[in-house]
Amino acid sequence: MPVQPDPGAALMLRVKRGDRQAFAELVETYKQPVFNLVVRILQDETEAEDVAQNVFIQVHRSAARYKPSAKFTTWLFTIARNLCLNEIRRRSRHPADSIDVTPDPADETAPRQFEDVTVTAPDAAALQRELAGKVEEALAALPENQRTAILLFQREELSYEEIAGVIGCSLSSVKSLIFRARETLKERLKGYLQTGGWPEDK
Amino acid sequence: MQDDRKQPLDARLDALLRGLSDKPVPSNFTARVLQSVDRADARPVAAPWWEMFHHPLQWIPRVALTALALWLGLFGYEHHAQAERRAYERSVQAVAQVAAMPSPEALKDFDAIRHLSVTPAADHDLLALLQ
Repeated sequence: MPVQPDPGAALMLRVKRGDRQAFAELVETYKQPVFNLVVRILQDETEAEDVAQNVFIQVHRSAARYKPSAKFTTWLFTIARNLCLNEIRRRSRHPADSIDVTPDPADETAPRQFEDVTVTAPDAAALQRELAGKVEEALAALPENQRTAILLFQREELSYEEIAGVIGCSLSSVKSLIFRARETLKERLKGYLQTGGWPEDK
Repeated sequence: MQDDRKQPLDARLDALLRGLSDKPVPSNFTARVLQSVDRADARPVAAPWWEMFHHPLQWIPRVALTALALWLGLFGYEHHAQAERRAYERSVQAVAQVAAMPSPEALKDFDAIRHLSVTPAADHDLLALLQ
């Protein structure tokens, strides 16, 4: 049975035919999930901007060879992760190149990226920010493959098979990565999770 | 009982992860990507190295490559010939050293003399009786 083209694949097929508008649409549609993933893998927003841009440049470059054999997001996140890993490797080879300092999680004065501009009671907003900060810290402390796996599973709602495609490992490895990530997060966030004293869903 | 406590923990973790706020994407992100793509499209693409064989002056690289191959072949052959010459010289020197030894005439009874010197051990009992 042929794979039904998903919205991303349909856009990509238009990009393949040289439709510039389709490419702009594709970037608009997928920039947020790509940026979310890249920032959380790299832990550096400035580098993440460049890498996320490169992801779409790479997508455009590969358009001629694109075949909708898998879900578009699987392909897209695979490119994103590979470029992130290249960046991490480059960073480890030339640590002095990065002038951006990763914010110390313990530094309470560091600016947070979780500003909620919606009108909320000050206490609730503060609690929400604190929680978000703790979750981000706990995520950041996970090994890269566990972090990527759980983010793709929970946030991007990719299946185990799709995550296996992105990470390049077996289905059982993906399950194991997600399980270990969940266990670690539960352990690190136990205090917050047990009290349940935060606003439920937004 | 433990599962009952664990269940809400999992559900809360899921809610927390799903509730994480989006990272703010720069407002000019799409414009920058499109600009980069346009720049890349405008840039002349570097032809792969094998493309040089389709150049109008394609005979130049071909002749150069052939000359290089010939030169490498000659160089290799010359190197090999020199090595052989040196080995031959060494063997001639070795033969010259053999010529400095005593003449074969002087050594013609060598084996007979050598065998004569191989005598059984002295019979001390017989010597004692003779005395």
